Amino acid sequence: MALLRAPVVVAGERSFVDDLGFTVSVKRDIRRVVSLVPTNSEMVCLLDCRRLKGGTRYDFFPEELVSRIERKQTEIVGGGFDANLEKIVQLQPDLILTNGPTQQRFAVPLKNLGYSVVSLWPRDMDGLVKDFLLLGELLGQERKAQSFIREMQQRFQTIVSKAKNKPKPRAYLQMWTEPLITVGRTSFTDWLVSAAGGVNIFGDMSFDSGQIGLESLIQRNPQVLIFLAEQASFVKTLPRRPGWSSIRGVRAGHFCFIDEPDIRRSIMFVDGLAKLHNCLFREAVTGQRLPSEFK
Amino acid sequence: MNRQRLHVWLIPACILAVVVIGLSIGPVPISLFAMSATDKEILFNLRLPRVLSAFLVGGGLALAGAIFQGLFRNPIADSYLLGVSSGASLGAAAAIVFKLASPLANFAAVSVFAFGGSLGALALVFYFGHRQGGFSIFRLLLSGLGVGLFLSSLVAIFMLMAGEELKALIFFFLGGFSSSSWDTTWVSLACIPLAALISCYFAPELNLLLLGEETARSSGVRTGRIQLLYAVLAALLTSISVSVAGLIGFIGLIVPHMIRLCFGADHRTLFPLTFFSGGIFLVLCDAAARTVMAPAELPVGIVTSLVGVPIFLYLIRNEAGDLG
Amino acid sequence: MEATHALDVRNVSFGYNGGLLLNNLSFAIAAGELIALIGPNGSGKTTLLKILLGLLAPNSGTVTLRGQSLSSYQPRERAKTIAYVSQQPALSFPLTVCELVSLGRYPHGGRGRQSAADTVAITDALERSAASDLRDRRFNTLSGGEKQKVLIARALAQSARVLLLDEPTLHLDLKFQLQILAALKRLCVDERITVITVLHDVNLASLFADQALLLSGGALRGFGPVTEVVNEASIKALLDVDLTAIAGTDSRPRYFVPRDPFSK
Repeated sequence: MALLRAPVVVAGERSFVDDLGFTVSVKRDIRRVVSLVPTNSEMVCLLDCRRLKGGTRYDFFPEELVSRIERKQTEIVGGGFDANLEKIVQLQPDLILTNGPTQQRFAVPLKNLGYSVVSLWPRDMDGLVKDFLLLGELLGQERKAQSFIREMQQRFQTIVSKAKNKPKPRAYLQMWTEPLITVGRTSFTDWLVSAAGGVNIFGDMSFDSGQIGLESLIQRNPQVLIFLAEQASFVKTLPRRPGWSSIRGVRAGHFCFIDEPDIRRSIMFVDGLAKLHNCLFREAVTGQRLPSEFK
Repeated sequence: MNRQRLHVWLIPACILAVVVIGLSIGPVPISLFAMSATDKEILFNLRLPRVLSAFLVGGGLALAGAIFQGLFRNPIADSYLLGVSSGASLGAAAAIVFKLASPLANFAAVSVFAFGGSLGALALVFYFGHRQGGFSIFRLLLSGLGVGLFLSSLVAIFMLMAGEELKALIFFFLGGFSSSSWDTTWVSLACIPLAALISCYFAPELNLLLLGEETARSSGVRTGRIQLLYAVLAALLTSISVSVAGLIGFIGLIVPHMIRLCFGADHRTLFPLTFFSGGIFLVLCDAAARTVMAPAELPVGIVTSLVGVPIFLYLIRNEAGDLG
Repeated sequence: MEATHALDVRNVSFGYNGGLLLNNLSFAIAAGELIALIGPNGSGKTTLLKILLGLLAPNSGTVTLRGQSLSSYQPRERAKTIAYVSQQPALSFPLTVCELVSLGRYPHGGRGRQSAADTVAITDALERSAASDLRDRRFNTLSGGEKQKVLIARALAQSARVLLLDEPTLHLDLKFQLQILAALKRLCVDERITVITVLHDVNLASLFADQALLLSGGALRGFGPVTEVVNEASIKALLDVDLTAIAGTDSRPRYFVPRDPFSK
């Protein structure tokens, strides 16, 4: 696999191109890592949690990281949309991990101060594998990274083969209730749905996530409706909501609930993928079901 | 003239005090006497540009407000109400969406587009708000409101169009100084003090314009040039402030108004006092923004409104009946 | 000096978009006189004032200000020679009277600290327009009449020899109307300043003005000593009102009263 972009060796450093296309130089011996995104924190922690000196207040995976944060061994330096530059500099990191363009406003000043900032922004499994292997290489944990990937790929193949040859259910993913917000083509979630064997009915929309109208939802008539767990009370009111009962999936009672971490862009995505797969291919149950029964 | 000597001494003292406060407050405690290399880096490369940016943007926004108020002889004109800030946002957004410039690669270039946008917005407001014989306050503010809303909608459309890439824009517009560094500070450092100096230099002409265009012209003021100059200066101040710190409301309205109440409306004193007070106010607000809910930061615009608006309303309530 | 006129207007026409607002006006105004500019609304009075101030350039004809072509003046030099008092501006900012009057010093320097000459000129101007006691008040707290005095003081601070006013008695009570015109008259008599003012009240014009300039439809309908030019017939032609003239005690003043519209 052409996973590793041929690292160029420069006197104790290696340089490569990150997911945003920036050429980055990083020390060979990385001891201190700061992550500004929960998924990056998780992936670093899977490889070597002790080196993660700074994370976010939404770092809930893996459990080891949660307890490190509780014991203040890993400091909170941000929350995804915000970042505390002073604290980051105080931690004197060898490597800072950000997500896509949103965090460039923090990445740019840090880069200007001479820190190595790497953007990890995978769009699909290939991207994830590539990024995770890169992390393994940067942290000197290539073997560990490869074994994680092997396990992940095995489970991934199992799910994919189960879905093969079955008709692809047309699914609607609701990220927000009022207004209705769903995911589009450029999102990781869209890729997850297709990997699980389904089709995102709004997969033609060129957004990551965006607002849609009830009319187009009815017109596209999904067979499966997937909600976030916190939308349970909304789903209870569906029978009373005009229009919804004409949707095939609603009439069939084919809803399910996922938690937000199930669709996170981490190497551990397979857990969520399995959940999505089960949801998509559950035998259709007739009648209205209360949300708790679907959990 | 005792009063005047008092200000002259107070201003540098206040600025110094506020800069010291701004530099000494932060999530990482720093002792001035035992600074490590990391402390120095935090102090000189993060806090200092941040305090400077806040001072310049605060001063710039307040001064832009004072200029618009003088230019349109109307105490409630302001970059935001006139839609000029929306124009700056649109300019920046267009530059980013059409990949003409990126705030990440070349901050100054985005500022240039923001400047173009704010000039365009101002031209539109002039076009719709102007009638032969001058500006009707009512017409002017209504067209400002209309232009502002329209341009904001265009910004919103740009954001929808560009999807994930544009989330960068949302944060670009949210406001604040949490990612200030020298590379964003130098643009304001180069432009804002210069614009402020020019504004102060031509204050006598603007004073005369308060009495009407004909009076000013008959007194020897080349009114067309002065109006154009101030429009450009105010657009420049607004667009740089928007580029550096996003949309921060109300400073341009509150600060000049308070200075006028305390020290009078002569632009020769109003402009410098407004500039310095606006700067001091925003540095303090930013210090509050990063400490009140530490380690999380509040958007500084929330602090300016929370602190500024009650003071403003109190002053309006207690003002003698000469609001005009 | 006395040989040249304060203002000499020759064959001045002005208009735009094909319409003619001023049609071939010619008149000359001697120094030290008070001229009342009388005419119905829309007769071109304000346009004429703007032409005399150099704010509008005539399409044809020439204006000579104190022996020099008006168009050849630099704006500030012109302002040292001719000053203007507009109709009262709506000022919503708290400028003090002193600050406002000091704006009149703009053509004499304008920037930096007030010179000694500026201070003297400001104090003088306030005194001459009977506004000294208002000095430290805020302009937007003054009554209409007080505001008018202050605006005149600002123009006087320009130290100009010619003063143009656009309806200075508008909205004022009679006491202030008389005070304002008396102050203007003193300027003419004591200092030989030339005053040209738009006036609607023909009685005030007869009482204070030396000359009257009658304007309607952009054309000159009469120019000369008030006693000669302002009479029942000329007012009827100019304003379309029927007035009866009553001789005053002196030979000079004459008073006009409207005819009783109910009598036959």
